[in-house]
Amino acid sequence: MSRSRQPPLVTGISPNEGISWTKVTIRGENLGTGPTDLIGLTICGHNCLLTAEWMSASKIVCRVGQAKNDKGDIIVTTKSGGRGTSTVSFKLLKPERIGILDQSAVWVDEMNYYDMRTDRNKGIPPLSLRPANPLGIEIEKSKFPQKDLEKLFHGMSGDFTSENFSAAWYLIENHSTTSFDQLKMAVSNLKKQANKKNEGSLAYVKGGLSTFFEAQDALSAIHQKLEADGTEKVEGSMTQKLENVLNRASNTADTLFQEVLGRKDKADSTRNALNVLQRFKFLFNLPLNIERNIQKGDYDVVINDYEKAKSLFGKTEVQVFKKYYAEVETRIEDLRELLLDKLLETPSTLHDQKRYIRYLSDLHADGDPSWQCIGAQHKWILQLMHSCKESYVKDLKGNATPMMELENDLRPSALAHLSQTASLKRASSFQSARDDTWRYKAPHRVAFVEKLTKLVLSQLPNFWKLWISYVNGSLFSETAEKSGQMERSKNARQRQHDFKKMIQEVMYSLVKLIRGALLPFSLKEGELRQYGGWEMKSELSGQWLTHVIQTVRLTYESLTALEIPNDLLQNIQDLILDLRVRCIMITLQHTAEDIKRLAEKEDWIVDNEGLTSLPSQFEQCIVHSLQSLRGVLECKPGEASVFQQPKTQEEVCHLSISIMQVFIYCLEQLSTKPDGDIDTTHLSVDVSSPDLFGSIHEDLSLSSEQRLLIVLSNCCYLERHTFLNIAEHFEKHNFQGIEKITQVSMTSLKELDQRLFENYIELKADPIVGSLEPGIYAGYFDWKDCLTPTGVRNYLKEALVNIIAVHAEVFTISKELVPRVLSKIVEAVSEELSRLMQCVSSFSKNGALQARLEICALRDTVAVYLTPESKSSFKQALEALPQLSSGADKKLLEELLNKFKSRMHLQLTCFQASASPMLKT
Amino acid sequence: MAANKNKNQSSLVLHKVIMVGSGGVGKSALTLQFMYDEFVEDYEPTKADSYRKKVVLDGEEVQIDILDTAGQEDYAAIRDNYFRSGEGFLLVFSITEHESFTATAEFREQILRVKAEEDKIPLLVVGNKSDLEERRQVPIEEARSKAEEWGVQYVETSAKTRANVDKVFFDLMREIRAKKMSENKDKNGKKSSKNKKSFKERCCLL
Repeated sequence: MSRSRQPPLVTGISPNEGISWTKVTIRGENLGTGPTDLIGLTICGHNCLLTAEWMSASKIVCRVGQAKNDKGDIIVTTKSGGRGTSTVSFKLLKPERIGILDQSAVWVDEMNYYDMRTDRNKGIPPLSLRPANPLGIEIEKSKFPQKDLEKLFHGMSGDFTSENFSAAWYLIENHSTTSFDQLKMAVSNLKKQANKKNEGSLAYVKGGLSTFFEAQDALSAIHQKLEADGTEKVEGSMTQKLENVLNRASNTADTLFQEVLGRKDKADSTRNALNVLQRFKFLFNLPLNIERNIQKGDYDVVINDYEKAKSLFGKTEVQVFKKYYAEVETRIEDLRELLLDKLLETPSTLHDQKRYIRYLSDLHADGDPSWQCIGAQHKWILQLMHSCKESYVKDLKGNATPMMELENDLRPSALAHLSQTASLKRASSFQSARDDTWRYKAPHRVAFVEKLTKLVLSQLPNFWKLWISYVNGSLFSETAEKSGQMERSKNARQRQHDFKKMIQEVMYSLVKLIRGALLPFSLKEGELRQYGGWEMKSELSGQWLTHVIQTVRLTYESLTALEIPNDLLQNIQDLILDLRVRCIMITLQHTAEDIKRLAEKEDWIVDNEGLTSLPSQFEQCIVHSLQSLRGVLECKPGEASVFQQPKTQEEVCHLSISIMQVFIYCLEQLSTKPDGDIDTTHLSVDVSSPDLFGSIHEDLSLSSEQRLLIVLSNCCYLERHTFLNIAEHFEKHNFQGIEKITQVSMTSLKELDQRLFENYIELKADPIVGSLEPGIYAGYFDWKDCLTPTGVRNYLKEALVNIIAVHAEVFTISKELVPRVLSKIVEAVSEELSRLMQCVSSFSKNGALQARLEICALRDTVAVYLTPESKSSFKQALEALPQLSSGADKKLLEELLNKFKSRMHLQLTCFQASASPMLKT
Repeated sequence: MAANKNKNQSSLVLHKVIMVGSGGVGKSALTLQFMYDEFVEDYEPTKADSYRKKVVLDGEEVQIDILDTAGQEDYAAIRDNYFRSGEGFLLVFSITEHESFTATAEFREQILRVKAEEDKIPLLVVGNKSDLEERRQVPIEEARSKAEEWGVQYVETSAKTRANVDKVFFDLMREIRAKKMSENKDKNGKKSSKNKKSFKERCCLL
């Protein structure tokens, strides 16, 4: 044999008999090495492999199937051992064969037992039940003819059931050749059978049960008939007797069957109990199952079971069921509470909430759980918002000392940063650079707003969706909806109103909290205590405000996307508007401050148009701050213009003007600042940078007049370019009242310009004018007594040189200023000259000539810068002189003038050369 | 080969043993311990289990057939049928439960009634659960005197520790064997001589 192991051998079966589908335990040897090794199992020829459960090499559990044979072997086949054998066998019982009084080792299905009484007609008479072979030995039919036997035993019969039974006939007929020993055995058999009958009348009655039934029925039928015939009265004694007999028979039967019937009753009651348990297993197990499923979280199953139990036992009258159903009800009630708790538990996801609500509505929970949930959610959101604030305030206070110092250090430098060119870069990277450093740098309040809005945005959608589902009824399962419909529709209006209030409250809190953090002045005293509590150290910069506005706007957009009605969001709109206005104000204020600080940055380096970098810096500064405000100024859909309110408009206008004026003030300051002051600041600030060193040296050489000039030139530029540009920018950003701004600022600028100009002229013209008189009368010169003029005198030349010096000074700074300055100076000089001439009481001939020569010389040289006023002054001066008497004099004058011009040619060309291009422009 | 073996098995002498006793005294435990050397802890009432295996009894290969019956009263009525088929009985009680001991008398009565025609019935009184000495309710003397009264052997066993398990089965089989042998003698008093003769004759022929 090629098998590596012994074939399976079944040596035990438990139980050894039973009806189909009885669970049996098979024991033996070599029943396989594992579940997969078992490849065949038959019991009484039926394949039971399907139900076989391999336990070990000596044990298999399976169920017996509908076997072909009543009794048979248990054959196990394994891969390792092949087909096996068995030493024991299984007997398959046919349940329908079992009568009410038959004994069985297994439970018999109640449905299959039958009442013997109903088919007793089919039954055979009790006597025929006797064995065909009463002697219990082999029957050997003799060839003895029947006729002879009849002759021999006349009137007798060989049938042992007959009354005329003849034992001899029977023996001759059946056992004519049987040995004596055999016959002796037959006698003992017969004795045994007789004993058996004596053993108990019970067994006998059992055997002939149907006969007894028959007899009883027949007797009762007779009884009835007799009663019906009315014979009872006539022959009472007879019926009486019969009745007595019947009663006795009945009593005897009762006593005989008492035990059996008692057992039967017991069996029946057990069976019934089992049936009830089986049939209503569902209900009896339900409390436990509910508990278990709740633990597992299979609420669906619980609800299903509950529904089923409710429909089955909800209206039961049976005490046991009532008890269990009550148990179930308490469990479900617990479950309802549990679910409600879970539902109201926060935080929770929308999905979970919906699930729980559905469960609750399926369980017909009292009240309106979804509404409760909405309420709880609402409360929770509010609480979250407040706790968010609290935590930030606390954080701020907790870290107060280190953080404040840090921030105080940071703030100005950050501001400085913002105002410089670097801030542009920063602004562009502002949104993207949300790394950790940003988070740390972000002021608490900004971080708070960020967090708060994020919080609201994360929670509110769920809240809103919950409401939407509540309204459209998708929270309820279809069945529950119908029942809930009535109640809800009743409350719908009220609920709508309440919910609106809730949303409003959330919005209100959101707005108030943000206001508390950023716009504390917009809250009332009481509100401030509730929503504020921030330690106000310093205003947030415009940059941060812009950021906050962005955040709030995004929030608003998200909320609108939820289709929350606009009237609920009006609060936020208002907040945004306020924030924007605030932001603009702050930014403008900061800009003003920045501009104030611009003065310190004046480097006095003049470009070829006579300008320093100051005006362009100023412009840049404003442009930048406007740019940073662009987002704020822009009106998102649904937003009102910032300038809608006249008050805001006015304030903005005022602030803008103040910015301008600050700058103008700066310029004025610059122009009048004493030398030392500027130098020291410059040195202290910039000495570290070597590339600026050169400029500092130049600065040192700047005189106050030069500075004055520079400022003047800047003023001109401002008037002509910068202010216009700025106005344009303002317009571009939809600022209102630009005309007013420009106008006011222009006026003040002009005033400054005028002042400065006059200052300068005074500074320059006074020395020249003052030197004229002493110059004229130098060397005791007298107009009445003088020699024939030989040329223009020195004082005039000196004055001219001075004018040229002024010209040079102005020219180096700004060519544009040259005509303006020089004409003014010339005016002053000519005026003085004419005054001097008019003061002269009389001229000699030579004196007059001299004077005329000098006046003409001066007039001709500065001809380019002559104004009507200076012209008339010169005219007056000339008129004060006596007329030239002779042609010789005229000639001399001409000669001398030409001589002067040719001599001074070099000096004088500067007027012409510079004047001609200037005039062109 | 299997067929051969089968033939061998079926041709072997078969001793039919029936386990009798109240419910839960350990009839099945004893049987399973004897058959498969295993102790079953969990209690599952038996209905009627059959076991049969080959054992070596005093050097002779025999087969033992064990019918493990139900102890529960529910099955009392069907016991008659079982008892009829048995050749030897292990009347088991639990030493930790006195009721089970008193019940042995009833079981014995029933056996005697069913087997009325037989004069001596191979039977052993077995006091099981001897490992639970501390919970003993049936004094060993009481059991012993009862057994003496009945003229049978009394053995205490433990299905858990396997103490005396083999002993009770083998002792019973010996009694059954002895009875069968004496019966054969009685019955075939005449025949046996005849048989012997024929045997001799056959031998001669060979």
